[in-house]
Amino acid sequence: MGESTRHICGISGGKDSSALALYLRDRVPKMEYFFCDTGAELPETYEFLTRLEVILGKPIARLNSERGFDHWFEVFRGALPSPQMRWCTKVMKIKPIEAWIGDEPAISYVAIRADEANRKGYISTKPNIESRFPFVEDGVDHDGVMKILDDAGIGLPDYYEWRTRSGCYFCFYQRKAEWVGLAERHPELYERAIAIEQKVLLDAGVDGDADFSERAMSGRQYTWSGGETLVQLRSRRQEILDKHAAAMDRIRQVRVEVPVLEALAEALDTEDDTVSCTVCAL
Amino acid sequence: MTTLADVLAVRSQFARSANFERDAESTESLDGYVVTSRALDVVSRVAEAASGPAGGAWSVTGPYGSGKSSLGLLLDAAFGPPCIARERALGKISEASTAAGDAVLQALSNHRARSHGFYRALVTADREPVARTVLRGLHRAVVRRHGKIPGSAEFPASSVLKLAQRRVGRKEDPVDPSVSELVDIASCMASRAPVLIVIDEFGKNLEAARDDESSDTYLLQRLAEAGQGTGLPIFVITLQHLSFEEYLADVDDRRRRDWAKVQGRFVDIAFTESAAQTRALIAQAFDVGDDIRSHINVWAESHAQALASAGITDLSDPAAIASCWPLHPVSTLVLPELCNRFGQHERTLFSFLAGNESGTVATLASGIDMDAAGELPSIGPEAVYDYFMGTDGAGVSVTGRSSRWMEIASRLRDANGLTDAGQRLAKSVALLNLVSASGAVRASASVLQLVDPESSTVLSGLEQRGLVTYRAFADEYRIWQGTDVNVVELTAAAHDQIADQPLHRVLETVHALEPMVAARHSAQNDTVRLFRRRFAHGDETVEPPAALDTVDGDLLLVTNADGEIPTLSDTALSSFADARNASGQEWNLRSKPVVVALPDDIGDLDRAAREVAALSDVLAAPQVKADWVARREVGERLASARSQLDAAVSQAFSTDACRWKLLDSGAGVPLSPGRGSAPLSEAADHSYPYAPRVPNEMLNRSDLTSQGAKARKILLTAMIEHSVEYRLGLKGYGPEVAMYEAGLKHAGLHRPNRAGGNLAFGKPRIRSNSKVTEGLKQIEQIRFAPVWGAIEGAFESAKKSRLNIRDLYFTLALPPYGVKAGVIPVVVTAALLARADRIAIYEHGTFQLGLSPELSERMVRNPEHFEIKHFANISGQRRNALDVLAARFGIEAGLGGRRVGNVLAVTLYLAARMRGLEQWTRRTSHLSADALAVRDALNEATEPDVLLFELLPVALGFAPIAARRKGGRPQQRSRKGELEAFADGLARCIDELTSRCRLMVGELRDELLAAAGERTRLAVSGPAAGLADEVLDRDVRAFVLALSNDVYDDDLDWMASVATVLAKKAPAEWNDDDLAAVRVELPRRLAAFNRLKALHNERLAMGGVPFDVLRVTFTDPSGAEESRLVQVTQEERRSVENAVDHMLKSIRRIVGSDQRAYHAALTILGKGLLESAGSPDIRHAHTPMLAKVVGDG
Repeated sequence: MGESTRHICGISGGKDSSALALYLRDRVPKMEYFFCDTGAELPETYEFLTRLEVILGKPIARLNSERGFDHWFEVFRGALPSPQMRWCTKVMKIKPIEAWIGDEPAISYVAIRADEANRKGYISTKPNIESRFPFVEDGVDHDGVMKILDDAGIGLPDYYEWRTRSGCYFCFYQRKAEWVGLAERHPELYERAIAIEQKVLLDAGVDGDADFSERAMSGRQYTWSGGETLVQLRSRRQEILDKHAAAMDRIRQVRVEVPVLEALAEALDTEDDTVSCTVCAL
Repeated sequence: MTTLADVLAVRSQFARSANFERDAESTESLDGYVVTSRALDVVSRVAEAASGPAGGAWSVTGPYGSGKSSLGLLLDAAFGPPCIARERALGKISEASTAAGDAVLQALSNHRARSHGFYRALVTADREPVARTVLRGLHRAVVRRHGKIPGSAEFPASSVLKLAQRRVGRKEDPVDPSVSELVDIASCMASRAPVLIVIDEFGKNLEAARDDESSDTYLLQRLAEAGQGTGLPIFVITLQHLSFEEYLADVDDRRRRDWAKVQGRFVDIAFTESAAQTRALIAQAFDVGDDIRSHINVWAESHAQALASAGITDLSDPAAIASCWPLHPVSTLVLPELCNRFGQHERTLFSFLAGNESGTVATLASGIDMDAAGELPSIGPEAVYDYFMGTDGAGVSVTGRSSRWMEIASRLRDANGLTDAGQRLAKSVALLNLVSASGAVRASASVLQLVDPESSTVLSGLEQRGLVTYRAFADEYRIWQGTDVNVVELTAAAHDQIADQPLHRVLETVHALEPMVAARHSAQNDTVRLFRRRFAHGDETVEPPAALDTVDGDLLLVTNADGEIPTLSDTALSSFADARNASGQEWNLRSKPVVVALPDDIGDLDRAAREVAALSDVLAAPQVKADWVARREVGERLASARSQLDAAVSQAFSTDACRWKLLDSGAGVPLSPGRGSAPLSEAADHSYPYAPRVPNEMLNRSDLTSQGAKARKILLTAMIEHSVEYRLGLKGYGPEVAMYEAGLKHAGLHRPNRAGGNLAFGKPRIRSNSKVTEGLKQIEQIRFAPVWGAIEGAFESAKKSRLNIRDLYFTLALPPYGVKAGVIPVVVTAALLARADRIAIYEHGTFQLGLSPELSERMVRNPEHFEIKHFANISGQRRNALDVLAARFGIEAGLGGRRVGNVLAVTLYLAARMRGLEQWTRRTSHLSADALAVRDALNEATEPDVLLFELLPVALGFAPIAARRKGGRPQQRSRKGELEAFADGLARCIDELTSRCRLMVGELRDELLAAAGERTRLAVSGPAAGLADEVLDRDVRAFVLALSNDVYDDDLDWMASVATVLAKKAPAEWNDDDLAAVRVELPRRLAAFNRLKALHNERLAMGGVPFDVLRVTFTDPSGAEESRLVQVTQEERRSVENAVDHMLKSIRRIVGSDQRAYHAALTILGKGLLESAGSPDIRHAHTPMLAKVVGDG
């Protein structure tokens, strides 16, 4: 690798990538940090990024900040992203990253921990990008990450109090209990998510905009959270919280010999906990 | 071997169709003729009428093949001159009824016509006016009688007849004889001998009459009238398949009434036969030898019993059964119905009985062995089936219920490997299925038993194969699964259903119209103009296509022939008035053109459309949907009807068959027909005189392809980001480059402002280096100049109030510009860029910093979300204020050397300065009062001019800067100083706002150094680095690490990171509470840091012997505090611990518990330690009596 090789490290706003950035702060002097800004991140994330920037003593490049979710939502005219139609990932994450990296040779440092070596992060298929996994190489596990964060005095992003992952406030991967959390912590964002959802429903039903149907009607989803609108979800608040608490209890008590059907039901119930947006969770 | 043929003779009669022209003079046609009861009826009526002096008129209506033509021939012969034919005919008639034969003779005698007969005008009609048919008939009658047309001496009407013959026969411009001429001729003939006019296929005359209104209705009426009452002996007989009314079902009421009047002059005779009569006919066809009659009678007797027990009373007379031998009784039962429903009646029947082709009774007879033992052989239903299913058999017509035929035939065809018995029975079932609607003649077990005594076994076999199903509710076996669909009936009903619908509505549903391109105009102007076509009625009010509709106009195909034309809606007409009043330009419509085509003739169109509509309805009917046979049949008819409709549409609306008009407020602008789409081109010329020419097919269209949209996006981005570069910095030969060349460069929209200057967007101008002729120059000028003018005009109008971009799009898309939707964003963007310093852009009502690629992307998608406002030409005090502000902030001249310091430039400058303002600065109260007020103003303002001239001056204590009133005097010069002061104040505040956060961090740094008692960052970070590995407490460790971190070049960055660790939040994100908390926490953390540092230093001083060390601090109630490092070596530790245990045990005995013992001991020891104190490490005065223990060995 010559002089022109770039060293890049993506920050997701979550703990692992932040720890990696801190870990490499002294090790890779010419590191460039970037963050894919969807324009729809949680306020806690933005606040945390500023915190991280100060500690790193370097700016974190905000990619895509000009064309955030609101922009694309207008351009796509009301197609709600969903696991089946993840235009959000494509237009707001992968494309801006690849545009920012360009064609020069670059080494991308990926925050996969030693204890989760099976996970896949965003590993570019572009030939000029080489991926490295410092935590795996150096055996840094979950505890190691926590120590790095503690030493830096940066702590965890505040959303960890009520949510398990970074990403858009309306992330369709979030659990129902997390939606409830959003409604409580950020009622205004919850209202915005409702407004987006309502617009999609309206467009689909009343407006019937031809352009819209061309682009979005096939295999699309009308609601953020499976099977109900956010308004309906909010009205079930207590029920969701109770179920969530029960689920958490179940996870804590390691049960043995669970009947097959019940075990499968549980697995299905908590399925969305394990699926996540690999790019968002950079 | 004796075969059936040896004992049976079949008379051939009706076996082939009769033809007037061919058979009239021959006797053969009469040889096999049987005078049926209804034929006799007609003969009797005519003969009776002919016995008197007057004539008569009859219309004989009967289905195909029922023997009407043969009847005509019979009459012809009977009333002809004395010859063999007349003898035969009279013989036949007398055979059937002596009275009728006598009546004929009587009629001939009465008219003294026995020697010469009547004039017999036997004629077969063609699809032609009745007059022509009648003339042909009369001519023939005359020629037959006289050998030629006699001279006028002999025949007064001679010249009229000759003339009429000549006129109708000439090649060019033939003329049909008039009614009076024909009546003259007929009267002339009738005066010599009775005239018998027989018109076969009269339906064809009626069809022609239906299509051609001019065809006279009155001829027949007059002829009929001439023969009636005390008139002349003229006998008119028309032969047709349907009643007059049915031929004229879909003509208008008036003409139907006329024809009803005509038919009223005729006596209707229905020419149909009952089944029993048909069977009598069959009986007459067979001639059997006397020697087997007894056999037949026995055979018939047993079958009669079986039939009676099966409940079939129709055919229970053994004599009737016997007379029809060799037909099996079941065959005899089904044949009449079968021929009526599916064939051409008697013609079909006799084809089957006597025809020469294979499968007929006559040919089968030679293969049937009469010597075999057992029952007398007979022709069973399976033979009937075979004959009727054979392709060269009866010629089953594809009408009526033949859908059943098709399904049954295909089912039987597909059933392979049946035994002979199985086949015979299956075919019998099939045949019975076809004829049975209800009643006893059906495929019931008892009837099938007649066909085959073993039928029950065979049937169960067929049932197992799934070929035959027993339907219990009907008590019959069925092959045919489908429903009983009567297509003819359904079609008629469907016709009735739509009869009241106006033609254009009918056409709408049955004939989709593709849009049409105005070809000549499109080619000449590099712009495809598309007209949407639809059918319309003259009473409509029309709304022209919307501005952004993909079509450029409407073409209305008007379906009324009364000359009424549609009118434009009031909206469209008011756009007309506005445009003319406001500009006085040569175009006169601001709505897209609406062209009407007014056809001369819609007769064919109407018929064809209604037929298609009716058949479509039939096809959609549930019973047809459920029946694939019917579906296929209707489908085929529909396909043919559709092609007729297509032809009718293109005929009715071909350019020269129509008048063409462009709708306006009055009677419309006439358009010349020309060829093809010429009228549309003329309309487009008229409506879009100012359309820009953009020779790029990818861009210049209403709907861009995805490739085109992508290229345009690249182009728009390049326009925004690289406007000064050659070719906008676009490289290569991609579509975006072609778009640039066609839409911007050649149009002169992107060119240097002056020779050698930078490229910029602006008013269309010819490239200075291009050598163009004067004509070309004008064309080039014209391309974009009007459009540019329109945009500038719209911008002007946006000075008073905001203009929605969508409205600008509308203006450009409508006449007279007609800019294609693909081009509009490009021109609008060019204009917005050309006026970037004056046009403010708002999205969803919010002021935007300027045109950016992403904004442009959204604008293309949703122009209605965007508005613009024009901020040019500010004058007076506001002008002065802008100049002062621009000078104060050093805002540079814009491109092209225009006057600087306009509202937008200054606003954008301020916005840019404020953009990076930290959250803390946005919220803090640690600002000067002015800065706070300015910050509020900047946060509140939604309009740039309100911000600059009202909110900001007021915030800084100045009066708002008023706009110059119209005609008002200039503001006083003395305000100049005030404006300077305002500008200075604003600059100060902006500086304060942008630097305040950094300043705050600097303050913290000073506080930190003061608390540490150091002067430089290094003096703090150096020692901190030494401690980094020794601290385990999480918070302290993070703080120490932050102090030690030297990756920062700048002290303030270092301080910011320390502050971030302290607050768990970056200073930029703080609020004032966070700042206050940090200010409290910072000295405390530093004190701890200092203690740690001291501990570390003392430990180093011990010289490295292993020991445990603590640093203890005691604080007494007065606030005095003492810190000391205490230690014990590891060697001493065990013995000291023992001693302390002893001591604590003693103390516990005194104070009661371990804990109290510990506390007491600590208190005493602490006091002792304090008293023996040497120099204190640190003195503090705020903690109550509390021991603080820091660190660890």
